[in-house]
Amino acid sequence: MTIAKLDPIIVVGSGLAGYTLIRQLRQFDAARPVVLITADGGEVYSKPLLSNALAKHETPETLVQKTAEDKAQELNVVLVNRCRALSIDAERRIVKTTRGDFAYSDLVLATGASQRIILPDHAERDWLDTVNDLDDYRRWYQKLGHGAKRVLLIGAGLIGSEFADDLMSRDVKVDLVDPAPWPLARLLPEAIGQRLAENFDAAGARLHMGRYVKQLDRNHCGSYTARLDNGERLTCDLVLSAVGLVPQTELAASAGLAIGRGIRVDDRLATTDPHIYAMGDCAETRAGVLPYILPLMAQAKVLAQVLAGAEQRLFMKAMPVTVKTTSLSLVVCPPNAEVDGHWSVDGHGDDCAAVFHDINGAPQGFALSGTTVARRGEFGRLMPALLA
Amino acid sequence: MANIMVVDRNGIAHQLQATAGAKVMEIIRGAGLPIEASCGGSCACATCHCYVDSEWLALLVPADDEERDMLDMAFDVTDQSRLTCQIRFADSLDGLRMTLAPI
Repeated sequence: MTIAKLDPIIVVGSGLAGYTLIRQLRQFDAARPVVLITADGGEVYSKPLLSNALAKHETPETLVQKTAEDKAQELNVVLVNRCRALSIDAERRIVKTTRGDFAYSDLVLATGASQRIILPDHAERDWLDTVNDLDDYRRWYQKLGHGAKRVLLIGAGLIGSEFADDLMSRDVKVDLVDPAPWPLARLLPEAIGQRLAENFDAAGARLHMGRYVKQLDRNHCGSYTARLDNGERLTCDLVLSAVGLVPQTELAASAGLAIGRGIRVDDRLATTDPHIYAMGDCAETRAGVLPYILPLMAQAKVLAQVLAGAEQRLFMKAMPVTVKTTSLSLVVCPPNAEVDGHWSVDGHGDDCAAVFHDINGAPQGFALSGTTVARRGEFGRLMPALLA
Repeated sequence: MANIMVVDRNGIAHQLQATAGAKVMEIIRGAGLPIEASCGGSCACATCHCYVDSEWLALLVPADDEERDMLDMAFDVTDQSRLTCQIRFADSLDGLRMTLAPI
């Protein structure tokens, strides 16, 4: 035990979760040794900005707000970047990595989530781009720079919808394919979802809702031809896949930790091993997996205190999410997927406010569009806490 | 043209041109000053945090509940703390002066 005390806290992952946690931790404990292990470069950048970076004329270089080395020095952490954590020996408290073994006293998994890949027939993995981190964005930016004029976007969820607008802002033609009946179908009632679809259409996107990409072939000139399930054929220069996020749980699995949709954690952010914690997009709290900024900030604050020895419990009130679609301003506070109920929608055109009521008539979620997004605070206060 | 004065983390003051209607966060970002604004300006991350000079503080539309809740999660908060994504510039704010909070 004495030896373990001398070992550092190891944080795996240099996304917003990892960095926000370390920053919080430094408020309580400036001296405790911390090692940050990351498969990425470790640069500080805004991930939410990746899906609207073209419109804001951001390059991979301007996205970097601080180098990994500067941030590590500022936070007084040992940075081990471009290093993949391979497995955990929970009994001996060791993380095995591509750059050797590291002993820890406490371990924090902030490994994030990766984009789910569904390969159409004939397709090879590297034909499909995903933009989930800065390295991805570098690749994507370079490919677009080679004169791509048409992009096939697979998935009209949060990320896919934001990318549709982002690409159109640079005059790239977009085909948007999703099996759902309207964009953001899990977050929006039909009236608002259809309005978003109309606005996408008016902005020049071609929507293929209720469809999926059955087959993808590469042409001699380097372009692609997609065949949809209804037989329709689309040609494009690039294919961007945004069909959903999957929490990165492999490392947790190697330690035998409990895993549901994500790495299961209690209200102290502890996993089923008392010295291993998880937070951010990889973690599943009692409120589920919440891959948004606000939950990770609330989690970082609690976990930092727990690591510093305080008794703290996670509390999360309703956390509305701004969707960065320029075709239609949106704020959503999605109801829990397991709750039965119905939407009631007020307003017309772009400006609608919708509330999801459960079968007992209690409000459980909302969606605001157009000018009504300014009322997010008022609607947010009606919602039950995510984690009481 | 109206201006705002933003003091960076090295104590250097920058005079920035400001357009009415723009969010102060966007003005600061647009000028290339290091402001994080992780969430892209949707009052969801508390990383566009600034200290507004006291003489200007009273002239701003006060922070709403949402901004106050968000400031609870920010670092190094003082009575002068505001989130710049929640301040819309208006010509009446010509000369507005603030200091970037530590990243």
